[in-house]
Amino acid sequence: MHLSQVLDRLAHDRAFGEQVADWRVLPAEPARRRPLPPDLDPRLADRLRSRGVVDLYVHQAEAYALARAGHNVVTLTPTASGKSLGYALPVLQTLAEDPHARTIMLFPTKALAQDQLAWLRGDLAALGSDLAVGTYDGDTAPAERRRLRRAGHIVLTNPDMLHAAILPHHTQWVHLFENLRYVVLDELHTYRGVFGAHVAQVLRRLRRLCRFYGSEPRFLATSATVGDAEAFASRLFDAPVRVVRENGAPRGERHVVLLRPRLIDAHAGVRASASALADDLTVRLVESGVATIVFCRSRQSVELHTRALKARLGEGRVEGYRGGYLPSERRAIEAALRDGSLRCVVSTNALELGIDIGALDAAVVVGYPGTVASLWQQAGRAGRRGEVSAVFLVATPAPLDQYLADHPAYLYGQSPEAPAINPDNRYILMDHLKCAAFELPFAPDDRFSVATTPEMLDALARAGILRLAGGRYYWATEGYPAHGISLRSGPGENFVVIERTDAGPRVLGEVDRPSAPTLLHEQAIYLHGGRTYQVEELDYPERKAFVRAVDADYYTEAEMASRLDVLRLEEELHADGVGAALGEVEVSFLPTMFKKIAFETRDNVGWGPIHLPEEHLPTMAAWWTLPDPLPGPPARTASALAGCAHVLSAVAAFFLMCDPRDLGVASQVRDPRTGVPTLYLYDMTPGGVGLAEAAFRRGHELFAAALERIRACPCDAGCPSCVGPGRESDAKDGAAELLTRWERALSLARAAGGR
Amino acid sequence: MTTPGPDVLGWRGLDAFVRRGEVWEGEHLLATLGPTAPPSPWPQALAWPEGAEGEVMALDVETTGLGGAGSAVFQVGLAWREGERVRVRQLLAPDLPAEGPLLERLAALWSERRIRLVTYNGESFDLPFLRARARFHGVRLPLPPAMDLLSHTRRLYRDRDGSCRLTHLEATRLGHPRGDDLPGSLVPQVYYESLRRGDPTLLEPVLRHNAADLVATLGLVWRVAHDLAAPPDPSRHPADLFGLYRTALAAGDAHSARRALEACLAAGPPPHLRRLALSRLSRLLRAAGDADARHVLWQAAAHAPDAPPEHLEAWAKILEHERRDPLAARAVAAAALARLRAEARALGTAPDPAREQALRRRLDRLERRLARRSPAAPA
Ligand SMILES: [Zn+2]
Repeated sequence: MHLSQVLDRLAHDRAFGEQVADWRVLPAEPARRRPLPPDLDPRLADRLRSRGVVDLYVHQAEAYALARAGHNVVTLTPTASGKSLGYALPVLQTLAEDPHARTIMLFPTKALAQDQLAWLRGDLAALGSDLAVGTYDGDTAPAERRRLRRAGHIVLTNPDMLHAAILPHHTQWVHLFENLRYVVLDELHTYRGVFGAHVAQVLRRLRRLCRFYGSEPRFLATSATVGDAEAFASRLFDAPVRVVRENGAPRGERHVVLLRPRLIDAHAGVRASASALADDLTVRLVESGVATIVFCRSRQSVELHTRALKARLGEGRVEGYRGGYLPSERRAIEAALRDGSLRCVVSTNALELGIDIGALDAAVVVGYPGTVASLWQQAGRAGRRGEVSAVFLVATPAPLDQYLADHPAYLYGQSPEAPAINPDNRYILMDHLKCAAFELPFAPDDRFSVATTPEMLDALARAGILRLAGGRYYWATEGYPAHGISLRSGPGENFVVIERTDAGPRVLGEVDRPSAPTLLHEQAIYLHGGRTYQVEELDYPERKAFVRAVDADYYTEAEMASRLDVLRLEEELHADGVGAALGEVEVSFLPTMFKKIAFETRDNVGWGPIHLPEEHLPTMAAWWTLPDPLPGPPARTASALAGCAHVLSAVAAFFLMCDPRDLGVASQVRDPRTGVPTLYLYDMTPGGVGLAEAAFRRGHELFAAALERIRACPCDAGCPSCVGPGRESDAKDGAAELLTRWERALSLARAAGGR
Repeated sequence: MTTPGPDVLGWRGLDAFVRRGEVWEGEHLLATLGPTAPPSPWPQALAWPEGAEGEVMALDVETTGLGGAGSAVFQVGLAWREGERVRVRQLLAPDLPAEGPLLERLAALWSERRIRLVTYNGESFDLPFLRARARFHGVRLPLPPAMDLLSHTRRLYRDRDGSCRLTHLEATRLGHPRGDDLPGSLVPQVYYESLRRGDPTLLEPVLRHNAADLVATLGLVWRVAHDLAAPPDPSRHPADLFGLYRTALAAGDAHSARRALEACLAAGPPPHLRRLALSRLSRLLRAAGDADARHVLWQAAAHAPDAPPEHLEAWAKILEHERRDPLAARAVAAAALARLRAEARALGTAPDPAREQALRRRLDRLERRLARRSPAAPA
């Protein structure tokens, strides 16, 4: 059955229709074009025409013009809009004029770089046989590496390679650095959070070397549509940027369906299961012959859905796909999707970027994926050229999902989400100062764009890592600093999951370090390939977990106790008795116990203790105080505060474009430090990646949005979609009251401060 | 374990150094190692790069790491012969900022007269390192023409010595086991330690290691030259004769290569080298189209009392395909099979099935051919 017919049936299905919060049909849009630029080299123009490009989309033409005028440019466009040509054209034209010019193109994944290589090679060949382009990554053969070092006019690589292999060996790349004209960054919005903080440092190192070699490259970037792209990019580049927003690419008709499972109990705000709705819909689509991808938020839920769908569709008709699967498993699944032998895959966002699986017809997104940009990228997995496609977003009870369901317009209009970045995280900065000193000794006036650089260099010299001699700081230790520093949660930090079988041990997968205490404690049920394994032994220092296949009818969820200490106050403001502050804190975590939850009923069927060491997290936090608690017993205020924290962290994740798990919250009725009711929101990354700071600056927006969510919630006295489960009976009213006081005071302060 | 050998005879340590601005510079007059005179004439196989002339100068640099822009050159050693002695001149950057001035000083020294460099592994390490550092500091440092001795010793000595590390060859080929020497891998650590403690005397072992490497390099130049110049006489060690073959092969000199292999075989090589030399000589003879010589070669090899089965097999192949003598080929192939089985029996194992099968197939083929050839039996 064709997708249009399936959609038609769904539209006439009353039971389905009841759960549709919003259904929009984005009409097919024609292209808006501009002629090829008049200054374009005729060889290049001929080459473009020969591959069918007779004119440009408006965004390509504008990006070209801005780049040619010497600006740093960010083009905001959806996937598959031909954005690559916007940055490739100025690069190629520059090469046509100056065959010595060099360009580095950075892609967040190897797959994305590979994708661009073939057509770039063809276009470049039109300009001369001696112009070279190639990918420089971990898979590049030694001879090709030598060729690119010597004569690579366009080097396609990723930030990790730039960091660990190119910058530290810049004396082997002299031609590149002396003649570097452009640095291209694809998928710019992915460079946020920890990765972004690292990449900002890597770019600082790059610019520092360029100054040494006398070049001054411009940055050309593409990004998904995000708010405040200008501020974000200019922080990442340490330079002003121009943003191209208008998109001229054509597109096929797309249905965007926002689903909210029906209310089962309006009073308690209980809705039917989002997972069940997603599974029902997926089965319906796949059985009608619609190739479908299901996106889940977590690895755990990939496993739960794969398990459920396999039971209904049958083994072999659906596969799970997520980080932690072995590369060979992943390659096999990708191939089966491409050749059409597999019609349904359940994935995390591991399948978002660059990996070629061909095009599917429909995407079912279970739970808002955290960012609007990410949602559109997942939606982009469905839709063959010019044909009808559909994306279904199934809202879970999470407040963030419900907030979005309240405001479907946010998906289409100006999104309030803005990526946060902290290029001055001191841990990350310290790491990269070492790398920078290795690359080039620090002169006294070399600030690396950070005020605290002299103190940090001094500290590194006192530790014997650098040496101050002749007025400069030199790298003065054996070894190679870039090797110990991963720009992401690197493989060295991951926990390896090893299955014990009768035939001996075998590696099952990997789990990142922050998730390990909650997923791999002893007796935890680890899910992989829809099957259950029990953790028999966790070797914490060696980062290994040993599991054995078991036939469990439950899974586990761990609980943590946490404590927060303020180390240093950085900024604060007061208005109407309400306070807001930003500062350094230390949060201590202790995993305490785990619950056993039945697959079928989701009932709690048991528990057990966890014995793991306490972990300490030095980070940044924003906090807000009220002059006094609510009337009545302290428990009333405690419950209301916990409710505020629940909803606030959800809307903050939306506004700050991060995963809710990147944010921690804590609250106290009588905080030991402030003595009054206090609510903390902190970065889960050591040193902070700018989330707490952004929350502090956007406090008035966050509190307004949190208040709005609570008011919009149809429940009577609080539910998981607003203030969270298990609160006092008037937690909802209490939270609304607290939020109102904060919101009013912060708005006043903002008006007064002119911010 | 301190056994100061001739390498430290005349060694003056840090006393020999004077400051020239930021750079320290020292000279020592040390005893030589190896031959006391070069061969005459100088062997063609050890030719200098085109146009190279002037003083032969050994070069060896010490660095703070193996690579990357953060690894610096902190010491450069040069050595040349002066009569019966070796003059060693060492430049030292006592601290990191002196690297640039050190390179400038080196450029000045090299501009004083015409020089030919000889290095040990300089082609992949010392010279590219100097080039990168000079460019990094913006120092104009034209590198003199250079010969890397390592490429020669690898061909010439590896079949006998295994390792071609400089200290190893110094012991085996120059008769001088190096005494108390700092391993090269510890050099960066020692340098950083001297910086941290502000104590340049810690660098003494590095400087001595550097000087010892220079003396050994110069000694090996003449050692290699003599070994290449001497005729391929069967009285020489068979592995060294095989090394001569490798050298001649690399130079494209088929005639010398053949003579070296013939001498190697005549010198009574151990079985593995014998097999190798035979197969290489056979390859050379085939390339030269000298079928008769190949025939004689394998005939002799097959008739050796301890000839391994594969030599018999090779001889059988020649009889079959080149001599067109299936009768003799069958006899030799049968002998090869018998030898293969006997060898296995002696070892208490089964013969290698693949080789056994190959021989059986050859025998079958020969049988069939002989049957076809013989006159048809009367009806
Ligand atoms: Zn609610």
